[in-house]
Amino acid sequence: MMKKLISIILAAVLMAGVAGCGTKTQESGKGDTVKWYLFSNPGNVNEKDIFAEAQRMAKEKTGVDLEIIPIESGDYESKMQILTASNEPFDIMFTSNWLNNYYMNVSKNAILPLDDYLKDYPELYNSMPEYFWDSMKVKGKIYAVPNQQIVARGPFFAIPEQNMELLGFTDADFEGAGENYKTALAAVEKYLRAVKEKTGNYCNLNKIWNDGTQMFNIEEVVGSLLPGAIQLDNETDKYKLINQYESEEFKYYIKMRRKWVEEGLVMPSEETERDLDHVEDPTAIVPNITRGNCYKPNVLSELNRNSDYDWKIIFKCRPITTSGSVAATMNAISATSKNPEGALKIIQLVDTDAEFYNLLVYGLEGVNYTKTGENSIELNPDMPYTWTEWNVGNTFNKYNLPGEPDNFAEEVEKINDESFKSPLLGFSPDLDNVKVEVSACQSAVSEYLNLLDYGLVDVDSSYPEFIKKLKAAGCDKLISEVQRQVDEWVAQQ
Amino acid sequence: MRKKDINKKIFVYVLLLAVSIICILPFMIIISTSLTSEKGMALNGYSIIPHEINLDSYRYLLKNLNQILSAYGMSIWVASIGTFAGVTIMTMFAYAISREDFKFRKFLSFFAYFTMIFSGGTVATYMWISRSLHLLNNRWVLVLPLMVSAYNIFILRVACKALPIEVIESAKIDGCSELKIFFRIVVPLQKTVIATISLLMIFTYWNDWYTSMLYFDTADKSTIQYYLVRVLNSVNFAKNNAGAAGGAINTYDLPSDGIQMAICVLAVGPMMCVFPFFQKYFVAGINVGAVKG
Repeated sequence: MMKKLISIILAAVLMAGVAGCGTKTQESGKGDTVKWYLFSNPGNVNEKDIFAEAQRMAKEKTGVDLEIIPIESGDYESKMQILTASNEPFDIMFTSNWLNNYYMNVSKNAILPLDDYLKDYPELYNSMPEYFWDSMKVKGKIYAVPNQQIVARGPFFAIPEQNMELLGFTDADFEGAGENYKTALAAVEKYLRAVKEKTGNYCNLNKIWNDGTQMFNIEEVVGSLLPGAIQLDNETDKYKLINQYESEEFKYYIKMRRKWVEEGLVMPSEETERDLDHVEDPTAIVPNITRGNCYKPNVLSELNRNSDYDWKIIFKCRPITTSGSVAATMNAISATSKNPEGALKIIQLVDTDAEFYNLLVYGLEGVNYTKTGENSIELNPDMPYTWTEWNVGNTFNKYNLPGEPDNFAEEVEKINDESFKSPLLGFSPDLDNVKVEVSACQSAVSEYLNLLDYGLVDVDSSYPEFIKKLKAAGCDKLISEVQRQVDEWVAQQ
Repeated sequence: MRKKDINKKIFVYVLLLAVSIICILPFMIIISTSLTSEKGMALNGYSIIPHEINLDSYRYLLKNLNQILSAYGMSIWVASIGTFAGVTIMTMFAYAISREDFKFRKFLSFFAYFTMIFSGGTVATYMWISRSLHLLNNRWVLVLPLMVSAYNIFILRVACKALPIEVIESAKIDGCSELKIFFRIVVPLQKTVIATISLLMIFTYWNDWYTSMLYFDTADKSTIQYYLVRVLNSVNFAKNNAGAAGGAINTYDLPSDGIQMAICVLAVGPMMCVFPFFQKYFVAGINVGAVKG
């Protein structure tokens, strides 16, 4: 009796399970709602109203039903990976070379190639220069739509503004300093010495090499900080990969940095980096200098917001555009999308329609912000809605915040277009065969680079050790493998 | 008392004192940081005793009071329903497989044991929950997956096994039904173990944020721990990746250390209150499992 009862219950449970699976299979169709996983920041109070408005606007302008699902930035990577791994149907996602990795998604077939669709969306295709699309190509195909933003990376140096006068500097003192790395380092040294003489104090100075190799005319090809780079001023053999840690530039810099530390010009260890954003007298000399990694027209207002005093840029280095900098922010369509046309319509809308884009970035007019001009706004501090503009769409359509120049977008576009274009634009390395070497080199770099970049260790003893470790980690194999891929890529072009 | 014993005692006390200080210090720093203003943090750094009492962080959190209260409500709902249902089911299961005269004892033991060695993995589990059970964005998804754990079942089974079969037989002779035996005899006798397991389960449910992250698309059903994790993750994310995307993240409007610590205090607070009630059972319960296992 008992046995029978159990088997009946079991059978019933199983049936229910199977039935449950059966009912949900849907036919794909043009009318399907487009699901967009946007990544967001916490604490947006009226998010729901904004999305409701966005959905209304999308329906009105494109006829597509849109559903926006905000995922907070910290969770985005893991959430997207589980969604793509389990073949969950959805449409639009953010992808890049540093988060929710684009190249991994392509190799897993998680995202849809767009070449066949793009010709039907000329408005979207023509909204950005050709080299943006070229940078997207993996094995000849475009898999994502870049969110236009500043892609040219030009390092710059900035100091507290009042120091100029107090130290007796004029603009002429730093003219031409951005010419090459030697003049740049000499100019920095001049400033450091002047501060030391006047105040007896050392300066805070962040790392210069890390995230700033453009200043040395070096483009890291294999990956951020990984050995394997091309020299951009090498006219004769511009596709030749070198180990940037063995370059003259690197040696020159770390020796100089060490000298600064020994002479007490910069902080002697990472711990002695003082908080200089909040100072008691913001009109006195503040022993500070900073190296930014990316000059853009509003960079000063960003620096000024952080500290009690104003900043001045003393010189800029040549901006450089690489594949990596374009592939930093993109929207892609999931391979599981049931309505790719609709999804592309939404991407086109967010990249070309300023009204829709600004709604997602700044919220509702009159609630989250007030307009102060045709294209400029002021945020309402009582109703914060913080959204990072580059994860949504084309940042050239954004309204300007106080402190940002009116022609912000044009300026950025100008910097992008005038920047030096890497000869490897569009190339991306495939590191599957050299995973072991990659992680070994990574650990060698993380062990030494920070110390050398801060000048905290003796160069004569540590530098050879570093190179020895890199060799042992297989950096030569890594470089020759990527060199092979580069040569193949060049032959194809 | 001999001198050696005293020395030994002193050693043990000093050691325990040191261990408890190590445990308490971080918590003191958390509380003190949550009471320090941003400017104070910049000037004085972390400290054990706050230099000032500043309630700005808590005031900031009160602005999001609704979210925090609903997150609290969710956590309490999940932890209480889950613990109650889980402990009931696991105790019944454990009692059944502890009885020598139960026919499916071996099969069911293996059934539970199997899950200790093999798990479905994240992807398969996700697909099962989303496609077959349709539990995405459903609050029960927070309760069901964590409800039964094989490990707890075996602790309970060991405890139930210790019950002399004669007690159960005599109850039977007196006319007790199986259910009555379970509720009137087994449960009262296993009070300590059940309390221990309940405490462990409350902690498991309270600290679980991963399930919320995985199975919810909306943040409005988040638990208090997930709320905390979200804030921390987003801050770390912004700090680590500020450069990657063109330096466009505005680091100046991130929640300060103080606010993060204040959320932390709010999240662990209730557990600090729950723990003392269970503590006496806890120690005894662990003993039962250890000695008789």
